Amino acid sequence: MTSGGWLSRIAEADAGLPDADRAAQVLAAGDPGTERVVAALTATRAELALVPPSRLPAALAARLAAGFDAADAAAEPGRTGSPSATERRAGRPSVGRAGSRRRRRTLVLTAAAAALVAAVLTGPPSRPPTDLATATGRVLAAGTRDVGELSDPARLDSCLVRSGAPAAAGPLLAGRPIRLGGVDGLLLVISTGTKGRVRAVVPTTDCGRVLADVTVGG
Amino acid sequence: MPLLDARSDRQLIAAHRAGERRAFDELVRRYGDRLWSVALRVVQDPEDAADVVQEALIAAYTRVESYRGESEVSTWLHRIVVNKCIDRIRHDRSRATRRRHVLLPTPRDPADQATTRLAVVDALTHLPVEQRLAVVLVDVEGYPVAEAARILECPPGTVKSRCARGRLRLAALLGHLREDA
Repeated sequence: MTSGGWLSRIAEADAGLPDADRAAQVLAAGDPGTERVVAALTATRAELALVPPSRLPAALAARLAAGFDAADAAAEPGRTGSPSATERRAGRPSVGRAGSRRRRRTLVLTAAAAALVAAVLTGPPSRPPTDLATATGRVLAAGTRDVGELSDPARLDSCLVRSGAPAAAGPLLAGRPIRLGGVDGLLLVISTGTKGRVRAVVPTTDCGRVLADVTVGG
Repeated sequence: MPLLDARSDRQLIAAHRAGERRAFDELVRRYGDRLWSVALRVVQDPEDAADVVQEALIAAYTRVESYRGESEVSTWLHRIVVNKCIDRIRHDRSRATRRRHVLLPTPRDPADQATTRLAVVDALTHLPVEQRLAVVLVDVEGYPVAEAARILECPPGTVKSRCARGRLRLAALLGHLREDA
């Protein structure tokens, strides 16, 4: 089998092909080459899962509102001007599907503003900064375990609990020192027990608090 | 009027058909971020993504009769956006190629150089559109394979296969894997 065919077979098994049983057989081969490719695919999925979300820009929301109004104006029999022009001539709000553009804009932009306020109050929903995404992918692919005494599962759990995070639900897969937001910590990539899904948690070096704790992949 | 509309997506579609302007606004509020995110990750360029989302949502707004209730409203909206993305990429390939050369002057094919490591968002542009769509929906946006299959109108196995090929390519582009390993 060619190198490309071998890689494709592992990638397809990693994706659950051709079916769960046969995929499991391929992945259970246990040879270092297969494990390295699976680790690379897991790291890739982890990076993809950590691409930060993006909100509908307010400018686009306004464009949409204008577009909906234009569509309404075009659909309304006998109507030739823009809704706002029509309303100005009529001197009152129009009815039915050709309502006020200003009202629509207010609604849409209010929603955008509410979302912005929510983001400021609560932060992004669940995704960490991209530098953590990159670090997680790299440390997982390399299999680095530069975590000192936290390679001991009991000490790992003790550190996590002291820092206010849940204990590990699976083995430590990789880790290394990292600096997040100007604070020194330890990036710990921990198995969740679900294929392709890992937990990336960063306690401070003194286990005093958690800088990041996310589940990625899968 | 309460700030949050408790009506189901299908009820909102029915209200929109009946002429209630606010109903479609609520659908945009519910799904606008996700539709925008998919478009941005697939077509990459924010201006193109804005055009795609605008064209898609106005098409949905004006041709709501094309929603026949066979799928969820969110699936229908995503499908329209995805099809607009495909149209944009296929009909604008020469422009996309020029833009990629501006963003990534060297090397022409980063997978040829094991030392090259691209940002994951840039690496997505190197995938064929079918693989990119599958990877964006499943791995970036986190949709279940079955839902991605409904959006892409293909069997789940096809989505898995496209994801597998896309991830393999990305693993090389991101420096996690040498393709000649």
